[in-house]
Amino acid sequence: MREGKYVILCIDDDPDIRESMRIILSTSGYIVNEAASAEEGLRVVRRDPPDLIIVDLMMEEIDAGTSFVMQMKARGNQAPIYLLSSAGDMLRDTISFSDLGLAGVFQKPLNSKTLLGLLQEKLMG
Amino acid sequence: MTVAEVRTESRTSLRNSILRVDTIPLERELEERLGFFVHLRWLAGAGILVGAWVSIEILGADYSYVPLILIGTGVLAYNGLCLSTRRVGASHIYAQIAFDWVALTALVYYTGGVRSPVSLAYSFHIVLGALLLPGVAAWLQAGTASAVIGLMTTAEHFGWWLPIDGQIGLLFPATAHLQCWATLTAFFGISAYLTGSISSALRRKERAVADSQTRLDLAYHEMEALFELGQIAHASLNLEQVLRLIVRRATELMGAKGCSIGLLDHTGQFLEPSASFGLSEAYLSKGSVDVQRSAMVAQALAGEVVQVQDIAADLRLQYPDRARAEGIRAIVCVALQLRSHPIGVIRVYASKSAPAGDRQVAFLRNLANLAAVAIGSARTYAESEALSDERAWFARTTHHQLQTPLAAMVGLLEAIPFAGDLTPEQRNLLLRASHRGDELLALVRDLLDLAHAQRPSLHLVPQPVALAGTLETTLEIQRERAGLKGVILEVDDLFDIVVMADADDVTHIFANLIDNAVKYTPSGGRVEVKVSRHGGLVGVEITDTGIGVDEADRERVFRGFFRTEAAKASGEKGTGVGLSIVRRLVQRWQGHVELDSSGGSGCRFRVLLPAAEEVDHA
Repeated sequence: MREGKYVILCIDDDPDIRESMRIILSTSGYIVNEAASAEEGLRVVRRDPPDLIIVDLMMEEIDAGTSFVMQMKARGNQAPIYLLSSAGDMLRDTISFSDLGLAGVFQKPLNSKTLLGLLQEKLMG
Repeated sequence: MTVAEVRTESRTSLRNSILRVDTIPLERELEERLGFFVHLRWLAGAGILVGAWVSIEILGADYSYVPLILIGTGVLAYNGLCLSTRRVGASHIYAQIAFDWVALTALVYYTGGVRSPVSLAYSFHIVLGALLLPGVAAWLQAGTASAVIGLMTTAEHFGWWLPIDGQIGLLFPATAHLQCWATLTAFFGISAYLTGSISSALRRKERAVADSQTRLDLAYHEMEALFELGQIAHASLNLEQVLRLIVRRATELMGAKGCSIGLLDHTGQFLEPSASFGLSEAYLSKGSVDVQRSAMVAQALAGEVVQVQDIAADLRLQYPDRARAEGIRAIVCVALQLRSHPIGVIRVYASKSAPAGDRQVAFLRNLANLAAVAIGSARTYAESEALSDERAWFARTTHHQLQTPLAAMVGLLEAIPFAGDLTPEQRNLLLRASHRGDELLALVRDLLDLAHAQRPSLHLVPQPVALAGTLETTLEIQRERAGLKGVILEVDDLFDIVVMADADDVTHIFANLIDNAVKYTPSGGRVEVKVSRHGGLVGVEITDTGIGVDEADRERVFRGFFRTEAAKASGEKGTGVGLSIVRRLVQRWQGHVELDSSGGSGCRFRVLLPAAEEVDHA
């Protein structure tokens, strides 16, 4: 938390997706940090630890989202992580989602009602 | 060991046993038959003793008991010795024959000399010898008998030895020594000739029968191999396995050293090794064959059956030194023709310089045709697979290209109201634009599913699919959706449930059905996923308390591009192709899907898929 507000980290390689999430979340009273790749996401986490993370499953590299979650888990992350997937995404079948300790998986596009309801429930509920 | 390997094994052992029958040495046959006579010789020993008693006591012959009993018991003794010997070898048999001669000669001496009727008993040896021993041996025995009789006659004539005269009927008068010898010699000679000629004629016939039997067996095995290879060539998509089997069978059934198949590369100038049997790594390392430098291959590719009978003297090989070092002396080479075009050659290598017979060449041509068929099938399959992969790649890429900007656009539309105040009209227009965006996204997703469902069934091989692992992401997504919507989603424990299908298809089937159930069930409703086993099938039931499907529409919802009035009225997006795809995917794996609903009170979809056999949880 910073200045009494929850910090949300959005990781997606699509700037439009990041932008729409930033507008929705910042006008709803959250601080939004953005990252365009898993590596950048890890750097932002170190700089400004988030209260919740939303990460795209398929970015430049297939399964980049899963790799990010695995690295976060290895670093003892406590913040809930939500994975965003698109229909037809290829998943690594050797990875069990429950083993990753994900808070949830959503299908794109995430509408504002769902997104805000989720944050409300997870952070304040 | 696989069934095919067992069959191969039994066929090889059968072939070996046939070869063994063919190569049994005559000596072994002789041993076996003489072994039988060893048993019968007890009769000879006993016969001497009984004969002595009958001659002396009944016929009143003036013989002495002692020598006759000694001879009789002697015969019994050495036959007993031979019988007790575990393994009767050729040396035993010849020793026994020698003993027989000595005993017989002694018997002749003690029963009146050459003129004794016992001297006719030499003919038994001559007849047996002619039957069992090679031709010369019969004449040798006849000659020996004649010589022995001649010696005894001479000795008797000059009074050098005086045999015991039993004073009973002798064959010849006391003075007729020469006539006696001549008659007995003629008798022995005629016996040897008649028996020997009959026996050799029989032996020739026996050999001819054995030869035909071997040829028949070989032809049978060739046909069987061709049939088996034909079946495999048509049914198997594993080209490497088929070609390996062909070179192996060619080697075995042609009694060759080895066999190889080489295929022309794309330039048509080089022959690349493709499958081989019986050849060393060193020989195979010679690599590809340049068609212009190997007249043998060039001639074969032109349609000839090329026979290299002596590689040392034949200039048609590219690597004669390598072949010589490998122990190859002769080669038969035939082209593989696919739709009348040569695509490679099959070569059979022999370690002896001898031409292959017509039958062997015909067999090799059949193998070449089979190999060509297998290669043709495999190439067609590979082309179709590449096409299918390309199509799948295209569908996926197109889908991604369409979906990514659409999802971003819908997201941006969602964000506009948060960026500043809007007039009610602007808000209304934005909402409508957002809905149309959602519709377009749903269409893109269904089209992807449709493309997936239309994969050619040629490429589908059922694999064990564990529902728990495969559906984890799908269930997680649906749980989140249901939770936010206020719908309870309950799923049975899927552990241990494994079906025979394809993981992608299973995901599509259940993602679609559960997505529908959650989508059309209002807040406060319930969706249940239950699994059960029915013999060889796994049943998955998805029950909801949603809007349901009227009885009249129950079949139509599976036909594609159809949505019920209730679905349209619900305000949820959809194209109406989802269930038709589900049915297609389920039927692809010999499964079945049915809908039970009477409208208004929810739906129950039941999917039956083949269960996998026992799964190892270790």
